[in-house]
Amino acid sequence: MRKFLAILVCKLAALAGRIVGRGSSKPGALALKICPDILSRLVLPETVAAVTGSNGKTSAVELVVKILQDSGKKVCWNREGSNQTEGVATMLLNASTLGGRVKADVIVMESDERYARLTFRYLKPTHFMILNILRDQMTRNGHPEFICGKIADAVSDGMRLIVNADDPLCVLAAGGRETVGFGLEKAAVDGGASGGVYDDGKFCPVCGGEMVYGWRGFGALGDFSCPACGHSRGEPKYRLTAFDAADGTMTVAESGGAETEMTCGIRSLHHAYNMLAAFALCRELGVPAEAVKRSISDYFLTNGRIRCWDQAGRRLVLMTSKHENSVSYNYSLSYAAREGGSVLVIVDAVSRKYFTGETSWLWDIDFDRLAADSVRSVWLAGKYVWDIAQRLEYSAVPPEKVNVLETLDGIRDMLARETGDVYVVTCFSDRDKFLSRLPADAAERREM
Amino acid sequence: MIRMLHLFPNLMNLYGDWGNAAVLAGALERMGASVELVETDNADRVDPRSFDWVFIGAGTERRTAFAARRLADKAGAFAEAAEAGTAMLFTGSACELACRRIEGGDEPLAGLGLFDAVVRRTEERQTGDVLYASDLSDRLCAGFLNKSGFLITEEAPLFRPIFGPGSFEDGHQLDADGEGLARGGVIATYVTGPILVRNPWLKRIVADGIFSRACPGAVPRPYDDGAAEKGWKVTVSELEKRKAAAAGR
Repeated sequence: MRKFLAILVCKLAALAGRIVGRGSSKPGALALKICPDILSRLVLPETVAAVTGSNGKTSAVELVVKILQDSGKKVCWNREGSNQTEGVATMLLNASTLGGRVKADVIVMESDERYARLTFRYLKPTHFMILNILRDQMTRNGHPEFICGKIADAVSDGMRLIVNADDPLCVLAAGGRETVGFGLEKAAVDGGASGGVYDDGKFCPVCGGEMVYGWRGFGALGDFSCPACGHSRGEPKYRLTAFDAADGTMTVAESGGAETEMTCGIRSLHHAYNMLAAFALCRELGVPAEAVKRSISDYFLTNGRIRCWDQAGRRLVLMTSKHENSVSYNYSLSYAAREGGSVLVIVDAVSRKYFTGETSWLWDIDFDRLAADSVRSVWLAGKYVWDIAQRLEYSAVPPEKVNVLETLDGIRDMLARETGDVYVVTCFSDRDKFLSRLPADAAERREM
Repeated sequence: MIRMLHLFPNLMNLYGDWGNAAVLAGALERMGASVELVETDNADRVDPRSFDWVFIGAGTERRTAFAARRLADKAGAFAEAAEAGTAMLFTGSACELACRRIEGGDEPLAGLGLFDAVVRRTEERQTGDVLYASDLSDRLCAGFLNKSGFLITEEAPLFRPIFGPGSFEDGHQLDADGEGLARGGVIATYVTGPILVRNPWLKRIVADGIFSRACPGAVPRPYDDGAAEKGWKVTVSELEKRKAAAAGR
């Protein structure tokens, strides 16, 4: 009876939430209050795939779901990206009958790095993909090694582990279990990787010895090995053997299989990495390589992280990076510098989910990328504008390029003054502050 | 020439900590000093006694343990340097390195013993914004804690929490929470990241101390901290609002 009631309440609460446009975790939270073990009492499909990691979860899940749906599978997934236990409960109960049978062929869930171990107590995935473990929201996440420990606690025997072989912490999280690796090759890295202002890969996370790399990707990712303790990358089954940032073409090789050529809908190595991960997971789920290619080659993500408008003969591009995530920022800054134009950085609310005034993460971002001649001007806005301004004083960006907007409404004037393309780098927490000041004649388009 | 040492810039640089060395070097240069900033992860290659300022930033718990082992035979040199007036800054988990001993991890570790304090590591992690008062200035220190340990000590704390947690274990002689330790020019604080960036008043105190010792008789040039001062005011104001809201609940 409690199970029935929990499902019913969740469905009704979710319906009410959709009507008023509210979040996606509350209905699941209510259901868990009524029936705390509701997740373990559901009848699940044979395949349950979970995706975790610091960067790219939402994008990778969207790609996986697209591939599976195009292959004719009915997929239950957390499309809102609400990835803690309550959000997962909302997703499953909404997709289930009142008797508790989840009406899907496959479940694909984005799992929060810290909470996967809790969710998995009730819902153990058959396939678990670990994308990367990087500096991300350290105000709530502690640090990457702490998160590595949390993910390791979520891993258990009987799961098929699909792991980023390039990441020393992902490999560590697997705890020596058999894994299916995916990773880059040097030729692909030459097409788009770059360093940063810190080097988390310099020392082995196991023994502290100095690490040796055949090549480096971004963050600590690369062809790593520790001469002191032997912690090393191994040979990934799925490899990105080529990537060209200029035209977005990429090639994936599968051990014992053919090569698959695809095109990135967003021309960046980060997106190619996500496509590689989606390829690996879907191949492990039995989807033919050609079907994967048909689904995601040239596919433009719909999760709203990157949006583009035509306005007054130029492009306005919104890149929703995560505040407190230097890898995400570096990617956005590199993209803007490569394309060329003006760059607007907005830091007003550090998080939409919790309060913090912490801005140390600005010093982890490689703002030198904005020193490129292709970047005409840099504009700063938001409550923490002076923190960014001070950070830029210690970068290679010429001071004459930097402009401080003391109020958010200054964004309107800036957009009127700048006539070329503008790249806006901000977070979900501040995205609407830009959108509400978008010129009325801006027309959104579906590709970059 | 003012010699600055940033020790373990890769091993212990968890959260923009390098900014401390950058803004301090920048301030000293603007004051008119010549500055040499040495960065190395190899503690055997440098002698703290030959520097005017030594800095170690935050790391993970595991990396802090690696750093402690690399400093195992350096306690004497650090003590002599501190005694001779070398200023030092330990931020975040590096605060633990300045203490006598670190307990509660995989194995007890010896620290540099610059303070009569013992670290007790905890399973639980404490994170949060902080606002601290101190006797250094009437201005408040804004920052962030991200730690899994407490200090057991009878030494007086550097900071008094106004908002957010401290780092002294309960039962301290003052019967009040405290954070951080300071003696002479040596500062050790669990406040993570670029504390001198976010608190320009503290940077000025540290810079003035180094300048007056290294450049006796020289008059420092005035310099402007415009962006840093405005950033500090915004952060303190936001944290004070937060404190008021918490008190009203």
